[in-house]
Amino acid sequence: MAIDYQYAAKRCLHAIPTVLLVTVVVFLLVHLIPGSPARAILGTQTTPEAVAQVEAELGLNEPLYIQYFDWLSGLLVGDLGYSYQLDLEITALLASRFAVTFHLIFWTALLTVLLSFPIGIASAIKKNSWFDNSVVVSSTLGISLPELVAGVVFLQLFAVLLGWFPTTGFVSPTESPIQYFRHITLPVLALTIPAVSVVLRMTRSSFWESSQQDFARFFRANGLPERTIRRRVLKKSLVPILTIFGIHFGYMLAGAVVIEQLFSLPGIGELLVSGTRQRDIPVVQGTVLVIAVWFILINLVTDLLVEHYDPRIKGDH
Amino acid sequence: MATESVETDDVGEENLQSSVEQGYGLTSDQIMLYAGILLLAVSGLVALFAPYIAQYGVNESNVLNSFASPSIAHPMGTDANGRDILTRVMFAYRTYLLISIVGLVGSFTIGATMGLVSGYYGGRVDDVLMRTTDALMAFPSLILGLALVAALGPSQWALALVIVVGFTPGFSRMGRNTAVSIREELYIHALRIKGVGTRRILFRHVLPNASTALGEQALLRFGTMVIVIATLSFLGVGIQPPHPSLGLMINQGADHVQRAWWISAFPAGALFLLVLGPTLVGQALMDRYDPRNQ
Repeated sequence: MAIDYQYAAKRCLHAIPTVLLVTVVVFLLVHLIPGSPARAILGTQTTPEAVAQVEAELGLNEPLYIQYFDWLSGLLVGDLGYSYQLDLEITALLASRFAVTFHLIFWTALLTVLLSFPIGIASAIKKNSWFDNSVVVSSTLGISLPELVAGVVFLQLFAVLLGWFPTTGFVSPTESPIQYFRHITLPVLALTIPAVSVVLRMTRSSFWESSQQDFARFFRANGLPERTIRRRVLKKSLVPILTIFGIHFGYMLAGAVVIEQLFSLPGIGELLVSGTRQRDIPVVQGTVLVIAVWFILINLVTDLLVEHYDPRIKGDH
Repeated sequence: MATESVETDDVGEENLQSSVEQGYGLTSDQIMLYAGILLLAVSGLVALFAPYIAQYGVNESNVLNSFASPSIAHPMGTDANGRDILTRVMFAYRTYLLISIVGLVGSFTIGATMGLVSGYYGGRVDDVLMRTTDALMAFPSLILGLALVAALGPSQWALALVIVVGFTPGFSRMGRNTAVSIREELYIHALRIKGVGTRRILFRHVLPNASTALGEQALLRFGTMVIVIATLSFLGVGIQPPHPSLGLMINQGADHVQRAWWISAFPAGALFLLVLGPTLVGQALMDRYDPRNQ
């Protein structure tokens, strides 16, 4: 199958208005926050003159649209300003924090694919067997398990009570690979359970549906080896699986917010929560923006992949 | 099941087979559906009658009896302030269900109506609405919630607003997709030719046909709403103390795991059950009405 580069480029261009709209939403949302951030910086023991001076320094006296264009033009050259609280450049801060979150998401996504495909397909092939029934029941429980609950249970059971894993913190893989895996195992598992449950269910139902179609019966009647039939059935059932995986891949960042808080991992979610608590506007703007753009990107890639496998869908856009 | 056993086609036999294997005359789908309905009903009753069945006051603390392990007097033990955890879990159910129901009704009504109307008419309004929906959907509801709560200050009504804002785009997208697919159906054309008014077509014909899909999604989203409320509370920007909240209790218990595991374990379990009920029902409906499984 040839890749339609022209179409892909067109779809990428279509994402630009969405991204622009997202920047407006992010900018406005954070400016709804009542109370001046200058007060938050200076604390309670301050004079109105000091507040006015800090406000002027931060450009908070300008009209909203000027503040927005200032922020946007900075954004285009990768400058998101300085954190009020940490006195660090936001772009550098975001980059280092996102790296930690990326480790979490990478392993979660990999585990999700490695677990949900084989189990989902096996379950579909043996539909209504005891294996299939137990897969259905446990994945339903898994879908209902909030990351928060899974994280708390793992943390309390395996880290605090049994002491098998460290309770908090992050160790870079270059520093000590063993410690790296010991620190991220529980957070990744807590994120993986709901993701696997959802993707697994879709794999099961989609694979089963395709295996019941005429083409599969035709192949079987013609005596094609079962392996070959399964490979073609899988290809045919890929579209819904990819779609649901894409959605979940995007939402993993939201799950990471809780998990990072719970395990004290210095990721982007932890940054967002502390920024929100301290009213560090540039930090909140930066993190929310990165999360939203990440989501749009994942969606774009998912759409392109889905349309690559099923060109009929292109007509919708 | 009696009617199905009479049928002779493949599907009937398959159903009969699997129900016999289960041994209870029920398929696993039905077991999940009934378990879900039961869980939902119990959660609802607990929430409704919490003030009457609770043995203690919500904020009734007894410092002399703090960190009491589970016993007959305190089935889920007591927390650091000597408050009865079971009582607080029941009152937390009340708050959570109230906020989620307000949020669900709000987001569903606004979202589904907007989506159906815009999908049915199409054109420029539809374009603008869908672009806005795309942009809003780029924020996971939890992230949008964090930003909004930061702006409004944490309160129960801010949480309900977070739910409405966070979940409206999803329902509007879904309503729109349904309307677009139903719009071109033959019977809708027939109605239009017959001269039936647009509003009547929308609410008497398009909406009922979309209701199963919207209903199961509403139930599945309901579970997510509960998770968002609990998570925001856990992060300290949701329901504020001393109001009882499952997320807050989990957070408070985390400091005392080795001494008193029950402080966070029971609220965590209660949260799981509260999410499980609507998810089971939604999932069972989806399996039942999904053409893939017919």
